Amino acid sequence: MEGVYTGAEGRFDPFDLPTPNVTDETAHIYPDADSTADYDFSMINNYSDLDYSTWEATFGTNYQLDSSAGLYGAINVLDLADDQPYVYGDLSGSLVTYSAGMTMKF
Amino acid sequence: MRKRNLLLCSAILLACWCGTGLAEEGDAQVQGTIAIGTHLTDPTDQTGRVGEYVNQADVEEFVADLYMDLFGSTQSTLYNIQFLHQDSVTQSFDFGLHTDKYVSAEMGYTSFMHNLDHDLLVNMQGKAGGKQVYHTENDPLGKYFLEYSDFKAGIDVDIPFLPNGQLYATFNERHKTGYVQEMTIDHCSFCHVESNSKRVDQFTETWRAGVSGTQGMVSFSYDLTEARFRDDGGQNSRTWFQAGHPVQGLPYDFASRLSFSDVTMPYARNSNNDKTTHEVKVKVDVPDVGIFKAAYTNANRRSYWTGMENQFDAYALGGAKRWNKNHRTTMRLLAYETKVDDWFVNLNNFRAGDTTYGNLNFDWTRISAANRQVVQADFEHLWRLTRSRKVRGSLRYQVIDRDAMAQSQVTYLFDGVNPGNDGATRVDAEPFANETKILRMKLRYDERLGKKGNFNAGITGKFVDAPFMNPTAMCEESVQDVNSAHTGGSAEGRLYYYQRQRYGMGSNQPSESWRINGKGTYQLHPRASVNAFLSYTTEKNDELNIYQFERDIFMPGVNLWTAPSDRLLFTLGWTYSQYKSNANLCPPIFDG
Repeated sequence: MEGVYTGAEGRFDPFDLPTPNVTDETAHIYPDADSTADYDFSMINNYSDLDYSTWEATFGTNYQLDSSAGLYGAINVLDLADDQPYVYGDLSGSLVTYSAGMTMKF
Repeated sequence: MRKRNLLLCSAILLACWCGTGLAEEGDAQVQGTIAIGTHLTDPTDQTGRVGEYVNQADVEEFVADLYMDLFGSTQSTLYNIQFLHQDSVTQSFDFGLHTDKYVSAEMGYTSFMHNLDHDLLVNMQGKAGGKQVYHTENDPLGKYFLEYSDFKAGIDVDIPFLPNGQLYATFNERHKTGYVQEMTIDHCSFCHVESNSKRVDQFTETWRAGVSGTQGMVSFSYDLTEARFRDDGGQNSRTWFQAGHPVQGLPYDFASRLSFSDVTMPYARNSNNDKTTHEVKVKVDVPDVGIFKAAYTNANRRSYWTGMENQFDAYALGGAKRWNKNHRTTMRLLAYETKVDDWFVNLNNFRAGDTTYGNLNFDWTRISAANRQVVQADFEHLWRLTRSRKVRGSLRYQVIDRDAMAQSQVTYLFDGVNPGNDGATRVDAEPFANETKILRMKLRYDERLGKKGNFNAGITGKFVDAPFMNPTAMCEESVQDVNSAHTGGSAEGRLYYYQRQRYGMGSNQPSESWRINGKGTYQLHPRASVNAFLSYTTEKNDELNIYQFERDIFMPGVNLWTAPSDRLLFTLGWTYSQYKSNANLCPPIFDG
């Protein structure tokens, strides 16, 4: 039996982006900086937040038939929760794999 | 697929041969493990990311598993075979053969699937005034993936009459095939991002051959490498729309202001190219004096679509001296030069139809910023304070001489003649040559804590004179009062768009950098241990003219491990990284 949990988060702090100061040199470019530089960057930092939770678990068993042969069976679970979908959409999903077989040593 | 099946058959035949043929020899031994089974994978929702390396084509199907690990020996030969078949793509095969008759050989193959994300482009839509950005997704249900395969083979032959003498030859082929998402940007009148599927079929072949040996105090080696890259994935093409004025529309000439208009062209091309590398190494071990090393490398790269070439020459010298059991000094000298051909950028004339104020030639010759001559000297000293403690200090001085770390744009002077008229003065692109000088100092302390653990701590300081930067990266100079056309609204006003020169230096490279780091491992209990690391870097560039670049990077981490019993194991890990930086932003306004 084996289990692994991984949590990963990423985020930006809000940008500190002051508008340019109007000086004698730049007055002809920005005659009224307050109205000309009409940008809102207050939400940009939230656009690329990331929040993934991943579970990986394996439940397996072996049965030894004799000194050289055995049987095995296992269930493997992979699960991803995407709590902050980004430009790729919601990537949440899971895969459950059932496996069985036999081993031989010689 | 044919190659994969061929390898599968080869592996089985090889295993049979090894298991029977060699077993007939005296004292032959064969042992191994074979596992045969099947698996079924049940998917829910999106599985491309959670099963990033799972072959999606085999999901919801019963798939056969086969694993074999075989090891054998005779009186004169050792061999091993490993084979894995997990699904129709995830497979590997390794074979090794070692004889006491001068020959060793190995062969290996591995392949796997990598599922890729699909950018839905939904954030590519917006409108501000007359300007818009929108997107077209031509493959909305597309699943993107790359299938990697790697085949390698090699043989070593000992040279019996030469100490440590060996001839060797290797071959490696890496193949990448699948489908990826490719995007194009159209700027006909609005910003238009378009997404398409593109087939990938790329392979890299690498042949290596060489010889090595020792004669007296001198050891030498020569290595020849030939590498070939080809892209047989076909070629996407698309039509760039007819350019139109963002507000006035098509009746106004806009095509001559852009590179592409109403034209169908290929995009996302990869050039086929070759690379030849020669490498010579010599080592002289002088008793009671020290070890001296020298090396020379020559490489030539050729692009078959552009005809461009790159030349690379590198020289290295080194020496090491062990003064006594506690002191050791190492010195290295490295010099290299790399140069790629210049490239003439042939542009359509700006406003070609305007013979009064337009029809301007902005052609220029690009000089690669990668071209450089580098000289580097390293000095390192190791001082073993006690059996469990040591200090290592190093000093590096590096000079990077570039012909052009950046180039200015072509422009025309305001000298009384309008740029579109005869007699206008054209100013060619100017390369900004520079010489970067870097001094780096490192100090590191290591200590073993008995059998309980160890830790190390270090500090690195770097001082850079003229770090890599673009002297004309941002912020345009005003032409106010230089030419009345700026505010006159006449046709000459068009010059306003391109005649302003950018004057702001831009760089994310520091002129001064300090980094402290530490790492330690400690055994808390015979069944538990902890290790932790910490790194903090602070950098600044105070050589820029309009702002001071600053960057702080903080990266701590802790890992815990404990095994309460022989059958139970817990691990816990935490890592954190924080980047804090600044940049100067001068937003360009489209079309003035």
